[in-house]
Amino acid sequence: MNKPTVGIFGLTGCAGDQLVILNCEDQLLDLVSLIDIRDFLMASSENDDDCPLDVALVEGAVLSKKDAEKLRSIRKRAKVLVALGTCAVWGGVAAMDRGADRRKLLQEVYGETGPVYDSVPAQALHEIVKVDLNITGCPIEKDHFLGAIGNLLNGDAPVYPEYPVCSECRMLETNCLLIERGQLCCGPITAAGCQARCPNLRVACVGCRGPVRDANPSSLLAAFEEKGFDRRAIAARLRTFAPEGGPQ
Amino acid sequence: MKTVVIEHLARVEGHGGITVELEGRTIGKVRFDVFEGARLLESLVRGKRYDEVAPILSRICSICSAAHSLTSLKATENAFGVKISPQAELLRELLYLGESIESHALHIFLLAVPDYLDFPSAIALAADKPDAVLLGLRLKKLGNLIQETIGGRAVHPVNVVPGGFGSTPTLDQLIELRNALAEGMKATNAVIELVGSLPPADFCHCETAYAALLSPNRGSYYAGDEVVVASNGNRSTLQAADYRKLANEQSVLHSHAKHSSFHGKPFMVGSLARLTVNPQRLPARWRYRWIASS
Repeated sequence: MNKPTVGIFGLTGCAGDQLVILNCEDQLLDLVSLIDIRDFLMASSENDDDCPLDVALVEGAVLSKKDAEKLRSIRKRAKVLVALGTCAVWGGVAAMDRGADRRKLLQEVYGETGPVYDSVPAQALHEIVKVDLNITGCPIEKDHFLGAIGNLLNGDAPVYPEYPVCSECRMLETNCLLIERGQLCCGPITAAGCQARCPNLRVACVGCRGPVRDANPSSLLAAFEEKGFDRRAIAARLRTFAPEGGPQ
Repeated sequence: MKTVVIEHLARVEGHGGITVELEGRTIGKVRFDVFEGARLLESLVRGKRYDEVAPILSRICSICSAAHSLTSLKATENAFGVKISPQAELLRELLYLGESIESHALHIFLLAVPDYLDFPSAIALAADKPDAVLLGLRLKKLGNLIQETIGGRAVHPVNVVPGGFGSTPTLDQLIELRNALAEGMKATNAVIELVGSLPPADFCHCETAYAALLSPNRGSYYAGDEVVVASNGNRSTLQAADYRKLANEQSVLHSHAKHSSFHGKPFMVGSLARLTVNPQRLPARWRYRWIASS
């Protein structure tokens, strides 16, 4: 059997999801014996930027016309397009305030030069092209990436938790930061899959994996208000990694 | 005149391209262009609650996410006049060093060495020199183990918070880390031998200014209060709090990355700069080799 052809791409972001791939130190050399990585600019200087791909893994959000163009050309080449990480799936931190006056923000950061730049409000991949699989996380979990490659090699679709971080906390018997400590913890509406990493370290969940399916933010809002937080602070916290509306 | 454009540089941390103007065989202007989209995080953190800022700013870059988190926390703690415990200082320093180990191993073995040995990637290099690549991956993994143990995650640490840490590592975790570090020390010696055996880069060397935090005696690059700019034997010292004198950012049309200069000239930061400013931090046997080679 021919090895499936794979491309790994970064739009605008921190390169964290590509870094998670390179952080698979124990699996990296086995991984490249199973898949044929043709296009991976971050790790190789010999890339075929035109060939058809069985799988394209794309991280980062679309923040420029150039990003959108690049994404469309990747989509044309790929049988399966995978959005890798919260920026690609939801928009990520750059999308937290995307209703704001962009010209003003550009001026604040870059002065008069700013508004000249090729710059658009952050968009997730699904807002521009069809996405076949979402692997969320900021960054993605190593196991989710490796598992997805295993699944795709076997012709299966990976399955990710459709329950909130709270469920993982309960399974780990972690004390509740919201109810017992009155902290602004986003666990109740955030997609699980991280083994409740932060609450387990007694740090409130910031929602970096994006909303869980069927999230109930209004009930969380009431719980937060009961603990004395104001609506503005709550709304800002809940939208740090994902604007309203999403890929589901 | 001829213009050479490399739109996307491969094997770099981040995105960038280079434009070179050639007059015959003479190089004229060289421009480094970063056209990554503008995320405007500087503006987006305004109005956020004090504990929301570090997790946002860590996302500036994954490879140096610990440094971005720690710098942001330091600023937040300074604003509140909060002094963290000596234990928290030490743990943060360890986290930062873990990041340096990971980032340097990544840079050397996965990004830079393939060029020295004429391979397109570390993956291709592994077919020919598996030991060298495995050595690099082992060291890289050690840096990540430190970051996972102290920071709670290898990329974008979650355990560092204003005032200190969410949780401190357990004794068992620290013993595991100590054993891994003892093994890592052996790997480091092998890495220095290997890097020392690489053919020297043959591009021209021009006078460069290097800027880095001056490392206080106990050897931290995290806790320094002074910045030294070293150029051709001259050293100028600035207080770290006056960083704007050095990071006097100017926007340019050809790149989304701002430019900074010191007395009108560009300067270099990073590992070479840290070594240039702090050679005394190297163990004696490596210090002599470093001084002889620079």
